This record gives sequence, C-alpha cells and structure tokens, in this order.
Amino acid sequence: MLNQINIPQTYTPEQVASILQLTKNTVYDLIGRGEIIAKKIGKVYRIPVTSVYFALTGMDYDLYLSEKEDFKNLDRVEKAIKEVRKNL
Amino acid sequence: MINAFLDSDVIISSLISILGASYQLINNKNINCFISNISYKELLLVVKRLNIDEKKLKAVVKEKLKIVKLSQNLKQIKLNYKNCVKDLNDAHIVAGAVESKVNFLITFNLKDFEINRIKEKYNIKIMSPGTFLQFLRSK
Repeated sequence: MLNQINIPQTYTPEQVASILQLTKNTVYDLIGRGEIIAKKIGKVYRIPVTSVYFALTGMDYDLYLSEKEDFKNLDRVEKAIKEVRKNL
Repeated sequence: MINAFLDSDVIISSLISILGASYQLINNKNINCFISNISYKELLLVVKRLNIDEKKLKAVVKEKLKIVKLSQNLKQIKLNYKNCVKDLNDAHIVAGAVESKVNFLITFNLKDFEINRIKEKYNIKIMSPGTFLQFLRSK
C-alpha cells in the first residue's frame, strides 16, 4: 500500500513531530530512549519511514508486514468461506 | 488473559502462513481463542476446498482453540442476528462471539459486520488480527 504512495523514505525530527503531533523535544527524547529508531548523519538525525508506520497505518511496521502477508491469500480464502457458508 | 472469537478467515490464514498476523495471534499465550461448533464444521469444509491438510487444522483446534457449542440452530441464529450482519450467512460468527462471552471478534471481513451495532448491543469490538495485536501492545 505505502509503496504505491509517493512518500519520502526518511523524515527529519521536525517532520516526525508534526506527523505524530508531538513537540520536537519529545521526538529527540524518544530517539534518545530508542523508541523512535533514527540514524545520525553528521549532526542531524534522519528517521526512516518504518519508524513512523504507526502514524501512517495504525500499526507498527512488523505488524503491518504480518497483516500484509495474510492479505496475499485472503481473496481465495474469503471466496472459499463464502461458498461453504452458502451451503451450511 | 483476553478472550477473542476468531472468524474462519483468521484460522485459515494462520494455516496458510506462519509469517502472518493470524498465526501470531493464535500462538499468542495471552489470548484465549474461541470458535463455535458451526465454525468448526465450516472450517473442515474450507480446508478441503483449499487443499489444506486437515490434520493441521485439527492440531490447531486441539491445541490452541476452545470450541463453544451454539445453543441455537442456523435458522434461529440468522433470525436473531440478522441486524448484525450484511450477509446473513455470517450470522453464526456473531452468535459464536456472543455465546463465547468475549469482548473481541477478530476477522478480516470487517465490512460485512455491523460493527457499531454489535459493539453497542453486545459490547464486542470487531477488528483485524493486526489491529488486535497492536491493541494488545498498547495495554
């Protein structure tokens, strides 16, 4: 889903603060505590999109991927269930 | 422990892939997972149709799931729960959740249930496996 949307792959702490509706200092605090994974490049931080997946999908990145895995077969699963339910 | 009733799409998905959210959910030790006797009958037919090994299903049911026996027949269930579903054939899933006395019904098929009505009438929240696992992380 997100691959099809034109979104940047990294964010600045200021952008993440805006997305998550937090202050910039809170974002730096969360980076310091390891709750937001960021990469320090020189003197600045860049935050990968995977660290803010929750804000974009309502799920952490790993759960988003897990659910996506289930979706791969879901059409045929739902179709089979519908057919069986018709004849129960 | 949290009690949740699982729709058949979640059970089948857990049998197809061990990487999915459904598999994680069924193997989460903090969740008591329920299905009904009608769901079980349905699952046996669905695995056959999808060429999934029936032994896999039986093992999951034996080790991970509790089966609640519905007190009404399908005709009565469809009559009693017709306002809770968009497709009458899904009514036994709501009945299963109600009779299991759970607060969560987990399904991928969110669009076919009257989510707000079910929450108001039976205090049962309906969500997908991924959303439910996310909810557990927030507790």
